[in-house]
Amino acid sequence: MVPLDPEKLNSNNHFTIFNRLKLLFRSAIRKLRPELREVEKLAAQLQELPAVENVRVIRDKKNTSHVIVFQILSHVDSNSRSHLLKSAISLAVKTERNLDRIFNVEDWDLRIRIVERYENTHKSQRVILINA
Amino acid sequence: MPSLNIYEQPAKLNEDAAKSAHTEAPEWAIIMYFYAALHWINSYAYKRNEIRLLQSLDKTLAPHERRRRYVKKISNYTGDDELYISYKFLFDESMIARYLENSELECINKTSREYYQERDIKEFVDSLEILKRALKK
Repeated sequence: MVPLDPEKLNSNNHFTIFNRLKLLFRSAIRKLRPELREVEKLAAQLQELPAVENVRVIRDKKNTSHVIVFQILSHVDSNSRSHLLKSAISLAVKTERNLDRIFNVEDWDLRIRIVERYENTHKSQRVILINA
Repeated sequence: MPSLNIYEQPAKLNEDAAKSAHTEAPEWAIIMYFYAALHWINSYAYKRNEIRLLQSLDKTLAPHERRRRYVKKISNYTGDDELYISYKFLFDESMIARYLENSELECINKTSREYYQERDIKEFVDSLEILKRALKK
């Protein structure tokens, strides 16, 4: 347990409590929505691919759709583009299979888009993750 | 083409048309490679008496989505993700070639034709070959 004696709380303690609460909250959310863990893992894997500058993940606002779009920000040259796209799809397919298994369905669809800049999202969508 | 079934015929015709469009209209070649893939999938389903799975009366599911799920399923049976990866690759690229989807061509200020003239068409040919090989397993 974290002691909540105000006199013992300096700014660092406060920061620690805040972080712990944040971690607890994140852990609870992940248990309730296991797809988020898989989404985070895939975004991290995509970020490691050559020529990837950033990854942004988009989903419907209600968080109910099994379609999730992974936008890869990249200025990859034309010749390497297909290779990057196939590598990204390959990782996405593995995650799709994990999600299908976890949810006991067959309809997860993780889409890869290579973009040169991020556009505004559609009003029915929201960004659920963006790599720092 | 008397020995080909009704799905193999358009598959081969699309493939031939795609080959002849490589230089003059590469964006159409991409689209036709995808449609060749689509008909090879249909042919696979037809031979296994599963074509009804792609022709469901359930109108809530778009035909492309129904086929995508079918490809994922048969890719799972054969234990070869390359089938599904190649199908997704061809589908995604054909959507860009058709609709300039994703604004990506807008922001680099090119037409679809110019964009695909810079790409190596061999990647698309290879993807279709991978798909066809996987369907023969």
